[in-house]
Amino acid sequence: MADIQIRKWVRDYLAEVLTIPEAEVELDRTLESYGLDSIEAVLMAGGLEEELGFEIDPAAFLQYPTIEAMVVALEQGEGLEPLADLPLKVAP
Amino acid sequence: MTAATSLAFADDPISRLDPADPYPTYAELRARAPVHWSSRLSGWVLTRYDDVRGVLDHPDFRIVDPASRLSRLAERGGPLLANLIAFHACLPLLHDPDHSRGVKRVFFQLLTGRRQLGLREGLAQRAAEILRAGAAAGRIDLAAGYGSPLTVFASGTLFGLPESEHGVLTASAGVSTLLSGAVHSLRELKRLDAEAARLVDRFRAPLAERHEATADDGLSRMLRAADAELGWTDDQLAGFCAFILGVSRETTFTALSGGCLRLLQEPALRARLCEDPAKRPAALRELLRLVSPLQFAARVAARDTQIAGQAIRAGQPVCAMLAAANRDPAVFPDPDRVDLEREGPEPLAFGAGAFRCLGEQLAQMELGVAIDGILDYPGLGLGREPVVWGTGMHVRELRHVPAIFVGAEAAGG
Repeated sequence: MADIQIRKWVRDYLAEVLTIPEAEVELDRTLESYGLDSIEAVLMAGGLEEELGFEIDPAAFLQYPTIEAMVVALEQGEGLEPLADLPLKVAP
Repeated sequence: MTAATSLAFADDPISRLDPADPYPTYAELRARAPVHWSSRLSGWVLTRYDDVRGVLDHPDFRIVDPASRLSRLAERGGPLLANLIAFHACLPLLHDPDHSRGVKRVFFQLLTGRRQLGLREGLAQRAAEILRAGAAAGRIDLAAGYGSPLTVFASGTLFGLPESEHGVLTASAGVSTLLSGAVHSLRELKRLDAEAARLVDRFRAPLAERHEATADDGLSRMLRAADAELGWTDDQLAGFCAFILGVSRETTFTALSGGCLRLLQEPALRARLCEDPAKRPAALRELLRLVSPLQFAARVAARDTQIAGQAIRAGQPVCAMLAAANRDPAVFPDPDRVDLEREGPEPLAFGAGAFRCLGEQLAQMELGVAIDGILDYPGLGLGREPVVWGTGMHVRELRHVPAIFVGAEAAGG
């Protein structure tokens, strides 16, 4: 999936969750700074999983310094694992 | 201890932790960064006895509350994972003194029957049967074939389930993993919800039967207490029973098989305990300290606070590493050794403070029986096949301990 599509998906998703226009979503911020917590990360990762067909560790979402960094990492396939026989991940 | 010390790690030692032997990692952290921010766990990791003990005893650190998190997940448009919510529903109640007393009373209904049932004697008999069969076959798996069936027998007997139904108590498939504070993907949460459903469902029919006909077994007593103390429905109690099973199974059977493993590794200790049975309680305490199946207790800071000078923000998770505290050389000199004369503070295998494990005495009794059984077979030794540990970081699960009988015992003990 191209970078631009992940970027657009994330932008659309955040605009909807935050109820702000897409143009106002700033990718150089953290999810946390938007008041989004690990529950939101779980939901967002779940949505992206359906888009991409890969398992995404929602705990990793909260680790990136910015949403932009997360988009870039996803585009490069970081933190993505094929959907099969995943061991349990332990990460609060 | 400052945040800078943690940041000095180029990577997170926790991500290099080997579940088959986590102790070198704990020792490294204890020496270099005893209050360590783990990017892998997204939480603070404590490895010194005093820090771990301090967090367990302090009301500013609350237990994790997966039920509330899962409810919020549903409110925000995620799936309603009702079985996982029912499984964890007792946890928020533990913060309220009245409710907490009620939950504990319901739980203790399960344990009060153990003398009357002759649980210890029944368990000892079962252990002897299993070992006799093992001796006849010349081999035994002390985890899957000894520790595991003994814990199943104990919980099945206490609940009052007929032995033909004990099989349903064997599966719990990591449902308790949310107690580690773990963030899981939706896919994984749905899988865990299905596992929780299987556990909760197993208690529904037995509870319904006990409404029809009063019996004096564990489940019947729990049913009456849950109604009187907490006004619970059958479904709520079924969730609680599933929770008890889910949090006790892997921890207890790993305590049993881990204790047995250690004995097989230390022939001198075995000989000593055979000669001097009065030393067995001291040995139990040491074995539990060294095995510590629950590796850490997860807490959440209720307000901005600090641990050993490190600022902890409200809402941040804290992993109080019980297993690391139990081998802190500052309080347990020569910590990896079994020392039957050891003094010092109490080990933290069952936690401490307001949320200390309620099943401690039961687990100790089961371990005592398992060890008594092993000590009757001096010819039992480790086999050539490897010991197999699970991959969990929260509950360290001992899956296989292949052992063999040598000499006359192999012919039938």
